[in-house]
Amino acid sequence: MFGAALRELRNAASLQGLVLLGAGALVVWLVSVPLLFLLATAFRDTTDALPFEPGVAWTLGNFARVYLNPVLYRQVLPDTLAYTVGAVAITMALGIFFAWLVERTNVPLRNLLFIAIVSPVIVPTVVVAIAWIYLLGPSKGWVNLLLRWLLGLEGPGPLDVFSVYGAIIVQGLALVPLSFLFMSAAFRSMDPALEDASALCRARPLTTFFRVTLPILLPATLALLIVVTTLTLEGFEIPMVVGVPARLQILSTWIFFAINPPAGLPNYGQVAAIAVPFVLLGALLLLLYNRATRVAERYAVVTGRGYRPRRVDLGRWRYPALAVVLAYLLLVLVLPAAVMLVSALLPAGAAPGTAASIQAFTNVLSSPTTLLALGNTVLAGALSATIVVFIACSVAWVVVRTRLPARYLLDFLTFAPLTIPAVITGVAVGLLYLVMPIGIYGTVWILVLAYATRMAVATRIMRASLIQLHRELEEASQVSGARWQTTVWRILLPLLAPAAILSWLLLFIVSFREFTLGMLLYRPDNIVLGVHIWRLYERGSIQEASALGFAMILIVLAIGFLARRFLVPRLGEA
Amino acid sequence: MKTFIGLRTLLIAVVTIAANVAWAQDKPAALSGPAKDLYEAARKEGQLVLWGPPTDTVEKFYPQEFQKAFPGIAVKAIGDSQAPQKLLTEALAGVHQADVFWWPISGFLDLEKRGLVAKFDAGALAAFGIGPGDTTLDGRGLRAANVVYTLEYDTRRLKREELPRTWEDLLNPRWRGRVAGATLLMPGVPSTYGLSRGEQWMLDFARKLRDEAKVTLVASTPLAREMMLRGEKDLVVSLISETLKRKHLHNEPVDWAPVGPAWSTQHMLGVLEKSPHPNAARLFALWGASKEGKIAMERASFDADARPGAPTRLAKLVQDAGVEIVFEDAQNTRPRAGFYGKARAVLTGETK
Amino acid sequence: MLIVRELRKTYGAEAGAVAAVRGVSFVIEQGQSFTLLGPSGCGKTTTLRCIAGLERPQGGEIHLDGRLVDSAARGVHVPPYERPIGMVFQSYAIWPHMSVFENVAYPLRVARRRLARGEIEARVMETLKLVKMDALAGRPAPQLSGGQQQRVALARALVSKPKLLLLDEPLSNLDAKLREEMRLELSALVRSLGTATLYVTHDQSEALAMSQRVAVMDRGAIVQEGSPEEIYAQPLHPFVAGFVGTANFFDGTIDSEPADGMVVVQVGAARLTCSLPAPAQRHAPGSSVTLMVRPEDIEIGPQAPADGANVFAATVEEVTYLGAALDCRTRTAWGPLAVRTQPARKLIPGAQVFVKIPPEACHILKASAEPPF
Repeated sequence: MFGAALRELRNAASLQGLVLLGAGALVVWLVSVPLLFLLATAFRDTTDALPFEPGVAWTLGNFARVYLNPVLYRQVLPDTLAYTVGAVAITMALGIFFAWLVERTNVPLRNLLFIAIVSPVIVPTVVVAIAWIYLLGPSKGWVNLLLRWLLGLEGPGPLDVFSVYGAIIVQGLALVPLSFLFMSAAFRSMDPALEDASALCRARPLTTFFRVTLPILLPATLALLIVVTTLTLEGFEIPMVVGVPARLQILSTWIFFAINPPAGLPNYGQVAAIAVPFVLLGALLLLLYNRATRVAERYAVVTGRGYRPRRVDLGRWRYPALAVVLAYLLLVLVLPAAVMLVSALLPAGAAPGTAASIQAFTNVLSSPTTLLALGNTVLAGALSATIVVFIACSVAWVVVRTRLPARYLLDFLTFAPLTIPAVITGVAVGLLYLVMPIGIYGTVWILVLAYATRMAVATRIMRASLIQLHRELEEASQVSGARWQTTVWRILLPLLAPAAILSWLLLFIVSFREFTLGMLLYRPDNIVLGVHIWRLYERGSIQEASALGFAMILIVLAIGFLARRFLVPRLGEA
Repeated sequence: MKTFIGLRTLLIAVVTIAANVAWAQDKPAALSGPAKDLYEAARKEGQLVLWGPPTDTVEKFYPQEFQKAFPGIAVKAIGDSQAPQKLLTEALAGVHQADVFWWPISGFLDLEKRGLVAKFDAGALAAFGIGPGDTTLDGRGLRAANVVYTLEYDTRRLKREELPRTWEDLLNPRWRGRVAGATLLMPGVPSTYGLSRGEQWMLDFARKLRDEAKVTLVASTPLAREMMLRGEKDLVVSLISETLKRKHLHNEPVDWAPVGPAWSTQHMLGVLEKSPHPNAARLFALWGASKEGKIAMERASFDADARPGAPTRLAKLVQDAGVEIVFEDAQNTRPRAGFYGKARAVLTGETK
Repeated sequence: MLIVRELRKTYGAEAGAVAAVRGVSFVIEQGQSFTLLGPSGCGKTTTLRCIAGLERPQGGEIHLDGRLVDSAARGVHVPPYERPIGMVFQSYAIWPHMSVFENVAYPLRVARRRLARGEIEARVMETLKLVKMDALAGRPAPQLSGGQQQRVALARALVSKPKLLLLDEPLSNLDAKLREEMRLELSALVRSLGTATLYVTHDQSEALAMSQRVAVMDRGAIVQEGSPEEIYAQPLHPFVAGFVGTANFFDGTIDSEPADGMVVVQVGAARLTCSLPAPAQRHAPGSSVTLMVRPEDIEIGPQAPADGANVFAATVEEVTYLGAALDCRTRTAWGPLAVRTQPARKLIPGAQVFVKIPPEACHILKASAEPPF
């Protein structure tokens, strides 16, 4: 084994080695700081002190206060379980169903649907919350008014978004763009021959779906499940906006209140104590994932034969299926967008008969802060997405194609940041670059590095993609005389391009709504859109916040349209 | 077409003009002695950095009014809800870039007790007319403004007379399910009672608010206000200065009602010990706490000193309305915070 | 051209190590076609991959075109892209994002010494013509059938005029008819080009038909190497005999001294006269041996033939019609016997027949059933 290590080191001197070592070093650098900070902070007594202040004692008190608290077991864990299971079920079911419809069937308007289903992810939750009030407020919400009129009901309701069900549904729907995008990539790389075989056995489309398609997609589905579960557990925007009114006691609201104590400094030690099991849980889930997919990894698919995705004919179900998707889009995109537009044009307190005015639009879109925020967001989003895709491809290659013993550790490191609450990451990164004399503290560059820690999803996507590429495609290149870098450039990257571009787009779009990291590392110079909207909103500039939210929806639709138009033909899709 | 201008409007106009005239008397040209020296020294420094919560008061109005009063000194204002821990972190790392700090007293204390806040010297205080009642924490903190708890209502649907006079009145069935407040403010409603009636009573009251009055907790006040303006709710737990801002600066059909016992958070102005522009910093803080500064700021932002005897309209408003106000100070801030935490746990459902 | 000496390759860590290749040695001369034949898991593909440079052996040496390309002991490992080889993979590994032309042109484009554009085009079309794919040069790879992909893979392997051509199960993914066609085409092509060729396959008919020398492998080692005729007609071990073609095996005891190149072996109650392979092996009377008889060498008929050596009565148990032949399972007094004969014989189950085993067709194999390692 020592000899093998020495040989590996000698290989490392080559370009291949430099690239892979570089990626590995980058991962370790980006991840280990927040991770170590989290682990250390959990044991520091941070009542009214910051964890790194002199004189702070080491303690197990944080764990005691959290894990010996009966509320945790009586309420928080059951609530969290119900909330998470419900929301994840919705996210997975809809994401897989829509991805299958759009990628594998002949449902009409596919390209449009693709863009529309992904779009809602860009809008920050706070803006959507206003939409929910307009639509689902028990007394005067539009949907409730309609339902009452249709069904002849009285009084408030029947629907109330500020309820447990409301919270679960809102959270479930929030991650559908992610699960949809993820499963799209997976469906696209599947061997249609496997489904053809099922069709030839006279299986109906849904049977084929459940008995052939889903099992083959097991690695991708499991990866997505793990990511979605962790995001649902850890995300606190929706619990904060929808969950708190519903008196939901879940882990992330607990964390939120630990960060905002009645007086004094945030209790980071408590936050860390809550989060440490997340990390361990994440490691466990990853282990299970590796075990489950070791078998499925033999389903190498893109061998060069039969690489033609074919579509299931839905027959008379074509239009009903379309109707289902359109209903979903109505609920999560069209209505909220309409509400944002109305809210931007007309303030809630306007006297009846006031003319609608585009003042809010002109104000917010021409404000220098908005332009600065937009520029920062695009810069931070694009750069960090590029870094992450580079890391994801390299790590995927190391994990899938080499037999280095360290590769599972590397894989874990790329997954771990998902389990670390954004708050901790933000504080850790801020502290690191405050102390290091690089001078990026308070600038947009620190955001690039902070955003780049969110590498978990991209690595899952790239790994699932790479697994589906037969290694002989690379070996054929080698025996044809190509060195590693040529093989990567001419064979690997073109074949991984669809998944890589999808990952990049997802990361880029999601960075538009990024809020926690932006807030923790905030300086007026590095303001980003998520923070900008939050601040507008906090200040009561509801109209302008809505106007900006509406504009962001238009932006993402435009990005999606351009991407689908210019990238899809090059990726050889139908 | 109206030919009759309301008496109230006229009165406000007169008062405003008078205030402007009064303020005009205190132009910098009239500065003398230590105040003038400080201005000269501050001018040489040329700039200062102000930190506070992310509000228009901090980011827009303070710089605006200060620069009107003292041209030649640029103010960079950073509004950040994480300010205390950020400043503390930076100080620990040896980075000192903040000059002046405007914050409620509890966060202020976090910095002050670690020796990060500078002391004002008596001569300077006197030169700006800041008396002992206006300073605290051994001359390190200057009282700048207060936010006073209140109930905000939609003037299109309710009249001030219909509103509760005390927080206990919220338990009236008429308000069941019709009251909203931010998670930040709502616990402040019962917790003030903790100081006067004890913890047990306060927790009971919090429970009743939650279960009988069915108050709704939302993420922030603007959200609650949206709900009210849309007709989903009738009352919003708010702060008087906020309501006045919405009413006058944004023309929203809202107004405030005097409800007691109302907690009043004390906002402080202070200068950081290792401030890079110490003279400019002191000038700013002293001006902000001075009569001229307070009047100018109230006119611009509606954030004002509400304590009895303060030279502000707000102080007069609350006195005339007869609101029972509990003012925050260095002694009651921690106990009240304790009640606040327990009340919050009840209201969010964490405690039964 | 290719010298493989004591090649060793092990997978896995110390405890659970799997020795895939254990001391394999063989030589391929210039222009010669060679096959590694064996069941799955025997190490033939691993050996091929070591020769290609895709795996690093732990022991032994590989010399390619006079140059040492692999030696663990001396720390030499020339990477695949520096070896003068061409390889056709079992999955063909045609790149789906390129056309036929681009796939074949690839080795020329990535070569160290870049050729001019015109030269590349000429060479590619020339090679495509060889495999009869020139008309489809512009076709995108995903639209090719299996057979077409195989041709493209071959063209790609040949375009850089390699010194050694490696083929991993080249015909196993084709249907029967195509397989026969390609077998002829492939061996003809390779012969006409004069390139040294190494096939790896589990199909013994392919191995016999396409190469000049065959090495039968089992469990990581070569059991027997020789010409196809030698392998088939003179197997040295039951494994070889059983793997290459079908065979009847009997255990028996030597019952006489060798005379005229023959010896008598007692198998149960019967006595068979068997030929001894030349050079004659010393088998003392009384020693145990294994006999091997090919089903197609046995004569069968309703009457006993005149020549009485090795004639036995038998009952036909089962008959399988193969079109070109008739497979019979018969039973003699001393054991079952599989016989292959002409369909015209019209044998039916239950018939009483006579079988004759010509002594030359009755081979004595080594007594031990284990290959010698």
